[in-house]
Amino acid sequence: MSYFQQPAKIIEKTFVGPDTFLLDLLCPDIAASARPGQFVMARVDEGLSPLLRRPFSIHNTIDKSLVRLLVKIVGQGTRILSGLPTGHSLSLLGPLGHGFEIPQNLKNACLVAGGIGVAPLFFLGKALAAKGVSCKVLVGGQRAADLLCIREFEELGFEVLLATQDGSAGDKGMVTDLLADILEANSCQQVYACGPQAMLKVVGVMARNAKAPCQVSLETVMACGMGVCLGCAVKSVSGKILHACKDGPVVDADLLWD
Amino acid sequence: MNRQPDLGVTIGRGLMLKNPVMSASGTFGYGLEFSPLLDLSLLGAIVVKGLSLLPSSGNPPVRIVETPCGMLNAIGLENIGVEAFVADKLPLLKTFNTPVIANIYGKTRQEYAEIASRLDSEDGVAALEVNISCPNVKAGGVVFGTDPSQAHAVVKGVRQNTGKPVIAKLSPNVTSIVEIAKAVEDAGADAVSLINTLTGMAVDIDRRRPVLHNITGGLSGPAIKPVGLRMVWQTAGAVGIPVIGLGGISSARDALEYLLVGASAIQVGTANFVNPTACIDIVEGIRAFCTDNKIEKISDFIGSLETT
Repeated sequence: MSYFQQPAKIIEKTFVGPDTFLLDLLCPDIAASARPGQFVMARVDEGLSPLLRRPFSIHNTIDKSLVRLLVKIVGQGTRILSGLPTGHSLSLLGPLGHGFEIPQNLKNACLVAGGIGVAPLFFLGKALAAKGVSCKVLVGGQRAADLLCIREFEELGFEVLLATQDGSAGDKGMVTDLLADILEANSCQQVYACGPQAMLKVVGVMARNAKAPCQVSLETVMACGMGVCLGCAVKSVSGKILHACKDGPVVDADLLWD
Repeated sequence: MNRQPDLGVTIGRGLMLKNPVMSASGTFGYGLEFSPLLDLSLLGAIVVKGLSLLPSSGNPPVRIVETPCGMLNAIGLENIGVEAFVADKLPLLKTFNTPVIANIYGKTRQEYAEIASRLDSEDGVAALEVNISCPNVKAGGVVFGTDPSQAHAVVKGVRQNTGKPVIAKLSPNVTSIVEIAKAVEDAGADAVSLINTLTGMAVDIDRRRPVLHNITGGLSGPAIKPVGLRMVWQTAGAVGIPVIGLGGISSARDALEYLLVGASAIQVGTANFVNPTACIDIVEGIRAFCTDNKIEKISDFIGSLETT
């Protein structure tokens, strides 16, 4: 596995919601070798606080030179990142981790996104579209403003279904309710999901019961991103410790939940 | 034309390093993880993740949390075990022309001695660092590092089972680190390394829960540098064996501070997570400092602090 540490210049920053933005970073080595589901560790500040890098899923790569991140402001690190100007360079480490697997001869798949969990799924969607895989994309969130990338997925030719807990867009309810219908219709060979841990567990168990293979992208706290701090441990069903940075972030749901 | 400064140091029993910068155990994996990012042959030494006799899975998550200018960890010494290290990591690691120091830990004195004996025959291992200071395991670790007679006994057992240089890694979670350092010196240690992490804690007031599954963890990073400096200064003035300084080193200036107060070499820990090339950046920074200040040999700078 090969990864790089390189300064990445901010080429463009675009807010797509009140607390969510796209960040285009010029880093050709990372962009050219990134695969869907992989991530980068970004050093948002050269000082001592916050000390650690922050992990971000790769949302897209453009022309093998730009890495695009989709970032939601959730804490100190992402707030600092949101304030960095175009032209500023920050240290990026990547591409890291084990990404999504696309099985041979996959005909159709279902992508399940909860909130900012949509971030890695767009990069995957692009790869699936290029292989001619027909996809349904389920996008869920608290309210309409949390639903991201709808138009982008439609432009890939995918059917996009929405759910919000307050009913302000799509079905009122959970994104997993939408998945139930699809699994029942037996119309999906592979489930891919990213979102809050609780959502992933529901998706994983539903897919297992429907005998549909399911890959989930995990989010954990981590310090290094390259398998040395051992901080990103996740307990598997067998009791074996997995590391989100190397064994994941994308893992088979069967490994995590009975 | 300026001559290149001599950065070489010796750490007891003839362990010669081309420069005083080592990776700290637990922050550099088994070394090979960093080979895509830097030339491992430029380091003074590589200290690998703490090894136990058998593989160990460590503590359940949550294992780490960021703190102001630092982090807490409670990994619990997850490692692949000494046999897997020898079979799977060492053959490649020893090709880098940099001494490999095996950090070892056991749950009992006998286990420490057994690992030492096992590694004694491995020519790819340049020295043993005896971890008597991990705060995150129930048995062994810091239990041995906070009592002078226990520390003495563990190091003596290791000493009797290896001809390689023995470094005792000490805990700062004691009243007198000098007392522990003297005890391990007496037991035959060739050097001491300090400090391991400081015991700490983080809690979540919303959930009214500890953040770490282990409840307490070890604090590392720039936040602990003043504590490390003080302890290294005290210890270097009290023992006759070399002191390896660590705790919060993230720049060449930090490293030079430790050398100034008497460390014969230093280790870079948490900084490897933030900046994977930290070790070689620090080597280059020390070299530049020596050149700028006309220091011909780094050994002339070591311990040259004036306090009067």
